[in-house]
Amino acid sequence: MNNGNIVDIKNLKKSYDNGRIKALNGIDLKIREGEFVSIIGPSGSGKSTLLNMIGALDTADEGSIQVAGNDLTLKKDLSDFRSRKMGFIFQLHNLIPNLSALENVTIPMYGNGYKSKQMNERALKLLEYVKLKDKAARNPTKLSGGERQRVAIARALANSPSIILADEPTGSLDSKNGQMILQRLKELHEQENVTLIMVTHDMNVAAMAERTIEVLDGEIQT
Amino acid sequence: MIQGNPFSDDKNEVILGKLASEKMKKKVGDTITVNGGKYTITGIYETGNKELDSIGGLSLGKLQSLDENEGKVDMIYVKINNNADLKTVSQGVVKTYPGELTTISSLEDFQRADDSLQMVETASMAISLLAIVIGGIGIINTMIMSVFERTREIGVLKAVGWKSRRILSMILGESVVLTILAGLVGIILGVIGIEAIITFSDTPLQLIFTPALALRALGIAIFVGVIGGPISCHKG
Repeated sequence: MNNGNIVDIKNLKKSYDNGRIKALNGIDLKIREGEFVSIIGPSGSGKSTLLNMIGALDTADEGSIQVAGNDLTLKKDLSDFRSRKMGFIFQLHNLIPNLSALENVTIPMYGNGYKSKQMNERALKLLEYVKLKDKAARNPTKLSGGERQRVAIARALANSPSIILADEPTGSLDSKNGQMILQRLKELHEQENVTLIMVTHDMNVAAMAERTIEVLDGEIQT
Repeated sequence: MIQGNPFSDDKNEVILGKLASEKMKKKVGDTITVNGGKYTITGIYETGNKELDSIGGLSLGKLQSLDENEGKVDMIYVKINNNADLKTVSQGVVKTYPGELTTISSLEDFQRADDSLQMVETASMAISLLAIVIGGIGIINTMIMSVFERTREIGVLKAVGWKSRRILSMILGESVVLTILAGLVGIILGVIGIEAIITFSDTPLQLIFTPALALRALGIAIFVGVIGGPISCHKG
C-alpha cells in the first residue's frame, strides 16, 4: 500500500482486437483505503474494463497497477489475490442456479482453509446480514431480483475482502430494490470500513459515493 | 456323469447334458417326449463342452428306430491308441471301406474349432474397442457441451478466486461420477439384455458374469471418464 492508497494505478493502458479498440488510454488513479468511489461514464467508455483491471480479472498492456499492496502486473497467478482481497458484485448477480443461496455464498470459501461446518455457519451469518437467512435453502431461481443481488453481496463478503467491486449492482433491479441494495452497500462500507468501488451510469446512484470518477474514451476526466 | 446312471440299451431311457437339463428344467427320474415316445431321464452328465452339455444321449438302437434308420449310422467316433498315427489310421479306414466312409480327423476339427473361437474372440474384442471409442466420444461430447453451457459459471468461479486446478478437478470429478453411473447402468442393462436373449431364444448359451468382468467394464468406464474430463476442459 502507498500512503494509505489501496489502489494505485499509473498510466494504465488496455486495448482489444489487436490494438484497434483502445479501452483504457493511460489511466492514473489513486483510491484510499476505506473510500467509497463511483466510476461513471457512458457505455464503452472503459469503466468496466478499469474495474476488471482493479479486480485482476484482466491484465494490462502497459502501466502499473497496485492493489492492496500487490503489483498485479508482476503476479501471474492472481486467484489467491482475488479470493482473499476482492469481493465482486455483478450486474446480473451471476449466482450458480443449481446451488442454494447458502451454497452460492460458500463458493469463495473453498480452498481458504474453512471446514464444511465453518463455511455453512459463516454463509448463514452473511445471509442473515443481508436479511435472507430464512431463504438460505432456496435456489436463485426461486428468489426475486433484489434477493438474488443480496445473495451476491453475501457471496462477495465471504472472505472478508479489503475491496468490494460492484459493476452496475442495481442495473437490473427496480428502483425500490435498487435503493435497498445501495443502502446495504453503504452500510457495509460505513460499518466495516470496506473500500467500495462501484461502476454505474446512473448519476443518482453515483452521488451516494464519497468521490465520483468520470471515465470517457478510456481516460479519466478531470 | 454328475447324477444318476447311464441309459439301458433296451429301455426308453435317456441321459441329458447339464445345460440341456437346466434349460428343460428336468431332473433324473423325469420323462421327456422324443418323437412321440416317452423317455425316462436316467442321468445327467457334464463334459465342460457347451455343445455337448446342451444335448442328450440314448442307445444306438433306440435312436436308429426313432430315425427309422435301423442298422444304419451316420457317424462313428474312433478312438485311436496313443502311439497310433492319426493320418495312417484315417487313410486305412478310407481304404478299407472305399466309397462307403470318409474320415475327418479330430485334429482338423479342433483346429477349425480353435480358429472359429479365435475369430469370435477377435470380433468380440473389436466390438468392445468400438464400444469404448464410441462411449469415449460420447462422454467427451457430453462434457464439452457441459463446459460450454457453464462458461459463465466457470468465469464466476475464477472471479471469486478458484484456481484453474480446482475447477479442473471439479469437472474431472463430475466426469468420473458420470462414467461410474453410466458404467453401472451399462452393466445392469447388459446382464438384463443377455438374460432376455437367452430366455426368449433357444440358444444354449450360458451367461457367465463374474465380478472381475464387472470391475473390468467399470474400470474402462472410469478410464474413459478420466481421459474425457480434461479433454473436454481443454476443448471447451
